[in-house]
Amino acid sequence: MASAKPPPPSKPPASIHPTAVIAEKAVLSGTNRVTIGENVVLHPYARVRAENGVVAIGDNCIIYERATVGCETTSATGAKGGSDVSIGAGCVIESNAVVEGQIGECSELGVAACVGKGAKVGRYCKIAAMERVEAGEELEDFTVVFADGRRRVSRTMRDHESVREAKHKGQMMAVELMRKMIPNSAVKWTM
Amino acid sequence: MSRPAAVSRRSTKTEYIETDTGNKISRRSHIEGKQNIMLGGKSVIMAGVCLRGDLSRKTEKTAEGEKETSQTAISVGRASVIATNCTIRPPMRISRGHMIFYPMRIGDNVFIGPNSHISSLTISSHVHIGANSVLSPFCVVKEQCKILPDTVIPPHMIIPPGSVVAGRPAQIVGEVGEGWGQGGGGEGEEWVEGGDLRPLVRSIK
Repeated sequence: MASAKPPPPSKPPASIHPTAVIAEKAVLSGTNRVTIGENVVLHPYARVRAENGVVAIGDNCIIYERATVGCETTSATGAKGGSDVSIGAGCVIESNAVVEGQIGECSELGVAACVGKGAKVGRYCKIAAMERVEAGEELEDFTVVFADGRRRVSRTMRDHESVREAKHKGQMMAVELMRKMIPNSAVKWTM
Repeated sequence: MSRPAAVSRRSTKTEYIETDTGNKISRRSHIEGKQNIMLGGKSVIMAGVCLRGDLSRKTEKTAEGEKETSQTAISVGRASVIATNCTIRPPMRISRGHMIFYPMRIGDNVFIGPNSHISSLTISSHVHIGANSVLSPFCVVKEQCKILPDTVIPPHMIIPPGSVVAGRPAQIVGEVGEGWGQGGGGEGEEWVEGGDLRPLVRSIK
């Protein structure tokens, strides 16, 4: 058994919390450090790319199939830094979304949405399907991006503690459900 | 000499696997939980399609010691075509204090364009969905609708029969009118949007 085929090239040094669930077909690549917090769920075909900077994924995040977290491209100037990617606790990254910037806690990134390089998305933001946050842009907390680039601040989310609590609760239940359904193969990346 | 050999081996291996009921499933599709997926027959699943049958509703463990069974997560009707790189995932929500996945139904003669994301509850028959569309969780699309390309249908939207839908977020922009799905059979036009897709399915090899 020890003489199984050699590990695929560039398996990143990963610190994965023992409670995180990483589907068998999810892929971690690159050479920089990948940190995955507790109860994170990585669905099949999700990609974590640590080619050009460290990637940190906070607790209770859900990353759906074919989403990409991490910078795939090197910056045109070749300058170091700015390629680090972090996702706060309790975020949802939907299918085909691309994260190359930083996302605050409990934000939601819709299907095929894109957060450009070095962009900073605040807490409790919601970026609807197919919307873009350009590189270097900063979004304040509770922003909603929708309808081809329109922005607004969700006052419901901002002014009501109970709404945020409900969101937390829903996220925890979703994570709990998926932990039961998706076979974990995190071992593959920690060994 | 190794190269011609590789070519000949490739030609024997077709792109699609055909089932007994005439479903054509690409070898390059990503299907999870195939035991929870039902295909009605003569349906096509193209390359790169991601079907999440593993996310199904599990019946609660009962006191009688009944085995934990899971029901069909995705059911697709007859002669439906799911084009390349689509993602189909059952929707999820809290019901009676539990987070559960809901089974999703796709009708007959439904065309789903490339790169679409489908999390809807129901898509009825003779629906045409354009490329790059996003159908958010729990939306319901009734019969004979046309969804234009790049549409984002918001969660829980119900689209009445015969509508034309477009926009981000989606709005009903018109009706398909008389004769939707009719016609075809002409030269080089064996099938029409919303019509019988069997000629199209037949032409896919």
